[in-house]
Amino acid sequence: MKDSEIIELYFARSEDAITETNKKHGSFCRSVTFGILGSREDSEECVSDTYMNVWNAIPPKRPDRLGAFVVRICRNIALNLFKARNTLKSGGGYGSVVFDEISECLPAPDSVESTAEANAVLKAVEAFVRSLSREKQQIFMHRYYYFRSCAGIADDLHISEAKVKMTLKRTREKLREYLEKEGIDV
Amino acid sequence: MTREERFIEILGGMDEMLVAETMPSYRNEKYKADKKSMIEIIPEKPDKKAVRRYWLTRIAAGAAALIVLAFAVPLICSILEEQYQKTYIDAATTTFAASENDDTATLYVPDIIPEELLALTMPSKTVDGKCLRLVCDEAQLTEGGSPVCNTRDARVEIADTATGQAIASAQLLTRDDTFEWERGIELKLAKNRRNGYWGLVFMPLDSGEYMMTPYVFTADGSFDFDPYGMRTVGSLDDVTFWDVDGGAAGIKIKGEGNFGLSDTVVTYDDNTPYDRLYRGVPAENIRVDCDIEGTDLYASVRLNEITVGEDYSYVVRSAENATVTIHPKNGDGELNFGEEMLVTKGYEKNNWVLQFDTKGSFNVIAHTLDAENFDSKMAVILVGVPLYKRFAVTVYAYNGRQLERIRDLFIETEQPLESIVSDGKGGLTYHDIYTGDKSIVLDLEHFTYTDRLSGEAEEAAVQLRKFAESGNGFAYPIDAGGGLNTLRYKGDNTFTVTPEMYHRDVYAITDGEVQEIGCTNGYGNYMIVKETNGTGTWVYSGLYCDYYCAEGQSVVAGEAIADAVDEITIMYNKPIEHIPYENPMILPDESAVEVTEGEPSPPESLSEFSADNSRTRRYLELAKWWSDTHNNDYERYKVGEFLDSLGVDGLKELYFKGYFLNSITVTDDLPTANGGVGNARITVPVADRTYKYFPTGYTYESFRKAWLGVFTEEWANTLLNQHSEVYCKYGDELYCLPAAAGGDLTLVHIDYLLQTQTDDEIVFLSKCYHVKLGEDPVYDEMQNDKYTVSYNKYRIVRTDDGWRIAFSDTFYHWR
Repeated sequence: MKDSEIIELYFARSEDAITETNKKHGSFCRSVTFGILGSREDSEECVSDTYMNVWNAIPPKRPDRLGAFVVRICRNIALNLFKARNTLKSGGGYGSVVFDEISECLPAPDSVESTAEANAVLKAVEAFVRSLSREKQQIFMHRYYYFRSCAGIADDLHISEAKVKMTLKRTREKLREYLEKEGIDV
Repeated sequence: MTREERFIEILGGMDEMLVAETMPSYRNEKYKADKKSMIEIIPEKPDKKAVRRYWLTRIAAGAAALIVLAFAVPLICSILEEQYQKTYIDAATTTFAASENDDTATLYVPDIIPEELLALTMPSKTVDGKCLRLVCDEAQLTEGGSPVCNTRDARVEIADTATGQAIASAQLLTRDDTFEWERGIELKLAKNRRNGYWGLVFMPLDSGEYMMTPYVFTADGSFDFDPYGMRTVGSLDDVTFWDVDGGAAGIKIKGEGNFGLSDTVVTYDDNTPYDRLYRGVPAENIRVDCDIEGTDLYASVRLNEITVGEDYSYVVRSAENATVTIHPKNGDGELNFGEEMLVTKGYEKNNWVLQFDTKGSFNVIAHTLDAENFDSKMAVILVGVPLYKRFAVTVYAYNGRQLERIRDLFIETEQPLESIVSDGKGGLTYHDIYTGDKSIVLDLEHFTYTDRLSGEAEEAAVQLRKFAESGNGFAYPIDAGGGLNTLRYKGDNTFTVTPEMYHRDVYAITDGEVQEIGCTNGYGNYMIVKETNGTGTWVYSGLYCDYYCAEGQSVVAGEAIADAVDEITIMYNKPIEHIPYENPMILPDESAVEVTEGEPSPPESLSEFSADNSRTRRYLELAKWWSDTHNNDYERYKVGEFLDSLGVDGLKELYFKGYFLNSITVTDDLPTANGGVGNARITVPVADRTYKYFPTGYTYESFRKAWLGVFTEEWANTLLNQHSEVYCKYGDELYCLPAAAGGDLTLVHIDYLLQTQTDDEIVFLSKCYHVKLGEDPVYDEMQNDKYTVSYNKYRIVRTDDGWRIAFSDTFYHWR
């Protein structure tokens, strides 16, 4: 079923909307939440919560891209759970690894004058990601937005795992330089 | 909230379009396996509590069902135990399998799942009270009843066999998402000579071979896999530990030989592309000591963290891991009197690779120099590293106080290192089979050398002098000790230096002062040229450029020059004079010409060649068409537009005439009169080759006149000289040789900078951004670093005959 048709089901308040959402986007949501949390049970709970949120959000919202919309909600819920359970740095999944990697992207705290507004950071990162080649964009987003494993990314993009890691490493370095250059701290 | 958390949270707000564009194609088959369960019943009005209640109900029902079916567990276990002799059961976890059916997405409770099998452990043999074990917390059963584990649910542990407690745990590394327990996974453990352990995990492959992953447990308690030690082995018997006194020194792989394992834990962050197994150098690092005669010192070269490349050459990937040190003979070797990085021609900054063939001998020798003014401990240390068929010898000097690499003093020789000997005067001599004896003079007091490879320097000086005398300049190859460099004069005291071993130009703009070096990529030996202002003195020097010179980093250039100028000074005390070329086109001795395949054109049938023709106009139209239809910048058209904007009539047409003339020198698009060429072919000996020329139907003189109508005589000659073999005069007719040229770049953007515009002269620069053919020819300012950038300079002057192009990079083929 097309995303637009699923959205219409939400607007019609048809429960099939959730079933269809799950059919189409459920597996990927689980993949994202599992990547963050490393627990299947927690992952399922997040996905269930996601559908609740989506059900409550549509209407009035009418997302252009249902998949991205659902995954974004799912990701946020998983991250909240991740933090709530204090599993940061010690939990399963790739969450803790990704957090470690993220620290490499960030400018040294004293290298810029002040902490930037979230919106400024977001705009800067978006601009940075857009400046990357398509492949690098995908690798970056798969890792840090979707919390995917390097092996999974490599498999998806039909490239070697080593290339994924190398690209991530270089991209992190570039991002740090870019943020420093822009004078943005997080 | 930590900064990392905040950052991740901020990422969550990324533009939906970007998120959607980069979303994995997850409706892929492989994701179906993740669809482990899904609620079947959607509450009428879904709410969180209802969903949780639903789950709890189902889980309770499932648990009840398992209890009922528990009678079957012993039977299943006994069957599986027989099947999997190596499977140990030591834990129980309750979980559920789920339907693979995407359509119904119902929670599926299998008929029987023996709880005990859901968590599996497989230990290795016990070694010194410890074992390596593979643990899977959530195994599942296939339809055929085989336990299957997701790789991410498994881990490798080193455990105390007495207590069963894990000492350390690491992720299981395989090349598959899942693995089957029944296929004969093998684990091996050995104590190594570093008071740690090496473990090997063998995962069976469909081919019948095994994927072997080494694990390292160090004496300090860290434990992890070594991803770069992964390799396919034919069978389990092919791999055995290589036991020597004190423990395992490595592994032996049948048919491949002995390998050492890394002694430290390797993580994914170390993105080394090389195999981390050390061939033949297991637990020992390479160290070569050399007695410095007359002293109580050794010169020593140490190579640590050696890896082995696919070609079985040694590779050292970090500067810190390849050092030259001075230490006492009778000491413990740790006392260090001086240390320098070992540098060879394989040097690359930021990606330091010292690589050499294991078949060659790696050696170090030291000479104690006893010349006057030299400290008694003064020594010259030569480190020879095999380089292809030669040695690359790097020279270091030690004066009792400090050790220093003599900058850039590499020697390539086919002779043994010992053939380089002290001359007793503070220098070294060696025999070069190509150029005879050469002397290297070292000023050890200051640790600088006053001359280097003097033969080459002299040769370069001669070339430079020739260039200066010519006043026009063109390419001269100069070996700067690190590869063939090409020095080209660009006019206006500006040079281009192209290190032929690398791809990018280095600009050494020397209009009195060095202004910029733009080595956009790569590192290596470059030549720098400088004119000291106003004296007519030329200074040139070799420079080892180990900087990353981004565009405009004149500071780097300045520093480099400051170093380099002290090194070699060649005086040229004569002002540059303009000495025009003779006609560069070939005027062969007609007696040497052999006419083949037909008759030459009769003189009366020849036409007058002109650059103002339909072809030129077609280029104009084509350029505009290209620019319009491809929605991007087109260099030719843009140059024309730019020239139009200068408000000088006729410049655009002049440029396109030049473009036309230039194009026919490099393509097989022959200029021909009357729609075709005659039928004669002539063969002409040129140097040591013979060329076959085609008649053009044009007079030779008209062709040359056309060039002089567009370019200054000097520049026309320069351009034609590049392709002197392309044109030939026979009788009165122009004969032509089909040439071929082509590039693999597409220009996507061009910037201009007008430098000079007077009544008599226009000078402008262009900066062109290219992508490779086949790449999306769209310019994006944010991605400036991804483009291949070229710089072009144009100079147009007013002569008595009108405007002429006096200089144009784009017409001159620098490479």
